[in-house]
Amino acid sequence: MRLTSRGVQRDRKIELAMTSMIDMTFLLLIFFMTTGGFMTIERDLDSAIKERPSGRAASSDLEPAIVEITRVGSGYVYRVGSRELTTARELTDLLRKFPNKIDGAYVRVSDGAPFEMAAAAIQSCKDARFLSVAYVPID
Amino acid sequence: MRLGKRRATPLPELNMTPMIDVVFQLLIFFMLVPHMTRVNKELLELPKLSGTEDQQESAITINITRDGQIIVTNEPRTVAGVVEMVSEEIRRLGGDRSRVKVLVRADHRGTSRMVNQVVSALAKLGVHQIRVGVEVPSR
Repeated sequence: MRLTSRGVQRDRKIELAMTSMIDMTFLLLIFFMTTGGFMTIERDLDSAIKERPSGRAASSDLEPAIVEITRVGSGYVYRVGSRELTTARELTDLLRKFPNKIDGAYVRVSDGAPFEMAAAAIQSCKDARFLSVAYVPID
Repeated sequence: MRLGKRRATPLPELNMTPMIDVVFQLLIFFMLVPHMTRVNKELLELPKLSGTEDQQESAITINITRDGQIIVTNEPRTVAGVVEMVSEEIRRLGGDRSRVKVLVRADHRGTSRMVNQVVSALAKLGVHQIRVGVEVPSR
């Protein structure tokens, strides 16, 4: 015969203090919300350096592919042969039509040219599947 | 027959609060430390491009600000200073210039003047491969 009451044991439950965990969870939430906007993913554009330009693009033929960032009026444009392009998308479309991708492309950049355009020109050459892209600084 | 009142054995309680506190503190610590240790990367607005390859570890990261200032490992440098650093790296690699990994991170709002100077100086040292840092645009 058991004289002890079982009810006493059954009512005893393990209690977890949740307050601290909730505190920390909210702290983490705030951390990720605030830092999330500042974190950026960086990638690389690999390019060769050519100290001197290898020549000028012919006005009629587009080979070899030489992209020059030149000043026209108050702004800069991408010049390929005789064509002047204002956007990187146009440049990519044009470069895709080049048959010879093995010899690579040259990006000639003058000192005053916006670096954004120089980087975009390298990207366009890469997107157009040129095997190598050479960065050529010009005065 | 047992007449004595059986005492209920108390259930063991695990106090989880300090452990959770410490675990979260460690989590935050290890999440923040990698960001703090990236001293070689200045806060720049890089060209928003897709790039061609994931960013790799580079021996020398050259940051070029919007106004054309060169910063390497949080310190302003001149082109001559960069040349000295790269020369040291070449010496460290036993003269093998092809193994020198240089990453140029330039603000897209600036001109290409300083990039051109750095690139020309590297070419004179025999370093003919650079990588240009870009920022993958957020979707």
